Amino acid sequence: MKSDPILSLKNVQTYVDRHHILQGINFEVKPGRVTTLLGRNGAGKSSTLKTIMGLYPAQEGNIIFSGEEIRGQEPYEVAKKGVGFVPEDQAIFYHLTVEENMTLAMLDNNPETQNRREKTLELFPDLKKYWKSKGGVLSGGQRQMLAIARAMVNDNKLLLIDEPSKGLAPILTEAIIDAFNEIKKTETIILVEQNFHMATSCGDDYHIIDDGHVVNSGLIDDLENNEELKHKFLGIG
Amino acid sequence: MSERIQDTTLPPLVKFISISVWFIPLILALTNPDLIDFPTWASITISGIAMGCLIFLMAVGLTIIFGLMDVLNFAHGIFFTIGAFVSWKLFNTLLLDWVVATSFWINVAAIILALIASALVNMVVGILMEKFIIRQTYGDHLKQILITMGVGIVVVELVRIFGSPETEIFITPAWFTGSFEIGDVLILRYQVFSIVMGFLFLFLIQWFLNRTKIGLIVRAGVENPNMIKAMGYNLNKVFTGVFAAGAVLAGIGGLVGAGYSEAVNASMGDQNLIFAFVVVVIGGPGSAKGSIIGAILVGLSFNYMAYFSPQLASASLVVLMMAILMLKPSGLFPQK
Repeated sequence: MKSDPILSLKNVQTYVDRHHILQGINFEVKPGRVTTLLGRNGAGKSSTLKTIMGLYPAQEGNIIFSGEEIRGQEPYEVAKKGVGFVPEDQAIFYHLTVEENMTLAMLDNNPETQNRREKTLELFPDLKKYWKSKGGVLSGGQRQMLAIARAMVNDNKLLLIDEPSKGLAPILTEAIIDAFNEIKKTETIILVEQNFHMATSCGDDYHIIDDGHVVNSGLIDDLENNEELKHKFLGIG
Repeated sequence: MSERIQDTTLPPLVKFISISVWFIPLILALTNPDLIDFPTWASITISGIAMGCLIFLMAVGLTIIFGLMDVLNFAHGIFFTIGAFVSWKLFNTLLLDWVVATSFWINVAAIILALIASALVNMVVGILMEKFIIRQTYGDHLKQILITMGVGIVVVELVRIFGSPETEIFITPAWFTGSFEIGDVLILRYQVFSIVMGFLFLFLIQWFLNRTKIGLIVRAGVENPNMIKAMGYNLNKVFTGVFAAGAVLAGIGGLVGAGYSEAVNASMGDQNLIFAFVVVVIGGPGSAKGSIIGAILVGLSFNYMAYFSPQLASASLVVLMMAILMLKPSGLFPQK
């Protein structure tokens, strides 16, 4: 059965200062799946997420989310439509406590979001332990957990997650993979990831971005066996 | 541990400088009464704290506007001037009978009414200025400096035309002009009033920042405005609100400052703006706590030096600022 994409990017062109970062990005994201964006450093993966979020305004093309054009909208409008964002640097608030970071993330403080917050904290019990501690005293792994947890407390339709395994110990990466497999039961995820093990452990579909274009797309299971593609665009093997 | 969190702890030398600003004159007062006796030291200290509280009211808005919005507002002094002139006009006309009355409560009522009036005027001016002028300059410091300086010059001239071109006497509410003594120490009632106002508004600001959702957004926005936007908050509305709140606070500073100096003139805001910028630099941009500590350090340094060597009073602020910046370049309590 073919389902309508939750997000589609058509010929998206983005400039940052004078640099032409995205040079006509095209791809679709199917609902209920984890779509991974792969590619070398500087290929345009993170910029694609920022463009979807509205943090980098796209100059041309269409970004259709749930049947609605969101290109040109402010980041807060995109977020309110149900798009959660976990940036590469986590962007947790260092001077705010874990509790305050989570409170801030809850756009509505109702029983439903409170319930979702409790479920999220069950996935990341460390956050409960450091509930009253400032974000700045958390370890790298705990910060990543907080960043992901913040994006999970709202009833989002789509989560954009940028390099969650960056700088993490393997054991923490496994914990985050488990969390994503739990999240994908209810939400669609776009995952930018350099760690191929992580991408294949929780990804369903993939798009390889190179030099601001999508150069290859398909099922992640097929990519795992395609040594030529992995070597050419991902530098693996 | 995060470098940012480590950065909020004060190096021992900064603590030493902060303490020695008032402690050295105290030692002198206790050991060398010919140079400065204890009652004089106590009076100067209270005067310094009162001046600090007055500067705090102006600096706290400036620091949060800079910390959150990354806007260098060289026109912030106009809100101080407007607050002072609105109060002066009211005290000289509608509220004259209440101001000259010797009853504490009637005087307080007059101050509250002047405070509300100056707050309303500054809120409107602040909202208009943010929406029509400041918003066009986001992300461009040079533009901000040039445009806000221009706005400052225009508003000062308007105050000269519609307020007064001369320095005018400000009628301080009668009860507040008196003084009282504790032991040999003479304390002016108005200085106590300034200190109460400073700490009252510090308390209100801290309550707002720490106990409300908008306060939480402001604190987080100072650290990372883009993430706040990506979390679903319309930061433009918050910017307007913060800018207007900063204007209102500076206006309250103007009311308190006019009573402190018992005079108003169109350039009084600019004179105090220099102190406020020193406080922002010392306290660390975006920090209300840094503002109050920085402002009191500035008030004390200025008053002690004015006693020992009046010509060097302003220079002492530069020395204080240099000493703190050399040891802690991002200020005492940076929020970024």
